[in-house]
Amino acid sequence: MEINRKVLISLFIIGILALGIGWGTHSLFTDTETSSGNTFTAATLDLEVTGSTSFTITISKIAPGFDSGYYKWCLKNVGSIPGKLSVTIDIISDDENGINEPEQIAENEPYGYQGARATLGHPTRGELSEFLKPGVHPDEINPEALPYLTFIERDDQKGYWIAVVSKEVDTGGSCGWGPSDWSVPSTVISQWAVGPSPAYAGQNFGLYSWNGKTFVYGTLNPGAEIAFFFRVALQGPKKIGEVPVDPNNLRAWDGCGWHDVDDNVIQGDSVTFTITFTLEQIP
Amino acid sequence: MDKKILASIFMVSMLAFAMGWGTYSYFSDTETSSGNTFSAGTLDLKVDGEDDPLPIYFNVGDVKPGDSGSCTIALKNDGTIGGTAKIHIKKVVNSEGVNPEPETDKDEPGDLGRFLVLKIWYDAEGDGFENDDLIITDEVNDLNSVLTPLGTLGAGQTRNVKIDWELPNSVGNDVMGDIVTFDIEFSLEQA
Repeated sequence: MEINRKVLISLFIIGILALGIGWGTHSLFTDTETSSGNTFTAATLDLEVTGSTSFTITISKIAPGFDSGYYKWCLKNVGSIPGKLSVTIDIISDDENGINEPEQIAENEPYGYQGARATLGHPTRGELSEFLKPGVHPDEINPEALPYLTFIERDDQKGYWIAVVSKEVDTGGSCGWGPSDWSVPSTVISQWAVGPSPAYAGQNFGLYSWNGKTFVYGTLNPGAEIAFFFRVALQGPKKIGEVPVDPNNLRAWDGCGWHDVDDNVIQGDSVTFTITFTLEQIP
Repeated sequence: MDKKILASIFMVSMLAFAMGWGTYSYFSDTETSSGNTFSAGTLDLKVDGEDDPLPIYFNVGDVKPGDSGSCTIALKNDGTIGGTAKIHIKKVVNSEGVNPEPETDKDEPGDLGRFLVLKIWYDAEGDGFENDDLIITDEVNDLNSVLTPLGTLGAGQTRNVKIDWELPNSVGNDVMGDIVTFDIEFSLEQA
């Protein structure tokens, strides 16, 4: 009982002291100034795509002379900051869909001069993507378009060229960027079919050589709009656009020159690929 | 008997009289201190030379991951006594703002305050900002209602506070178009 009392008294004294300290603090001088309404607003980066609705394209049941025509996507930066616009092409399947008798003969055709593989037929996948050309060989550019082309880059080893088109004119199969009110591209990216060669070991030809490739347009400012054009074709007896196509139909580069191949090698083949547009923040 | 008593009283009186005279003849000097005054000290904080309301220090739009910035503010003790300067981030309000298609978190409240980092520096020695002048680093939301002492501010002294901000690269699309608003309060308290 006596101890409890002492404890209570102690607590009471401590309480009084604490109260005193509290009061003391509040009575110290103080001056406060306030800046109110400081605001940070995050930017938005938003790409709007109109035009073609297909971003996954399957090419099947086609024959030499096939022309997909231009797919056209209009891309608009509807965000608040500039972004880096690019497009990536990915082949997601490349199928034989069975091999019939004429295709088998073509697949067994000896192929290539010092080629990377012994036969025209690929051992594990269809061949359509090798011959389906997303671009046009410089020798096959529509002659009417040539006066309007300014070449920026051309690499015959890697098999591509880039040019700026100054007028709305069909180059004959190339892919690229252009104003959204044009029906054909203005800045052209083109890659032509290059067959197996010692240097490229069969990996750099046709649409197949575009697999996983990203083409950068550059900076797309807020409110700006640009179109991407994409077209694939097979050489054949028909004309592709205005371009007179090779009468020998499918052909390939064998490391030394172009040579004709048995068109049956692509019978029944199909290829599916995706087109992905990306607008990225510029650091 | 009566006579003796009277004589004694007379003697005592005389002695007392003489002693009195003696005391009065000691040296003496007197000085007066008049008008002693106690006046209270003053403690007056000026922020960039101003009092309430202070200007808005941050009004930043189009903030994207990787962006950063800084604002340096001068605190002056315009009073007569030293004090402790403090900063108080308060009234943090997050909102979603616009919700573009790629935004990954469109639910209120906004997410910018969760990620926007403030670094608060105080140049206590008045010799420029050095590593040990960093007082606190935290996200805006975590700084909300935290009263942070900066350091001492002597009478008549001016010292700089620096507020760095950064939206880390790793933020991602959660914060797109989001808005965070807050008050910054500076106070000077008697040491």
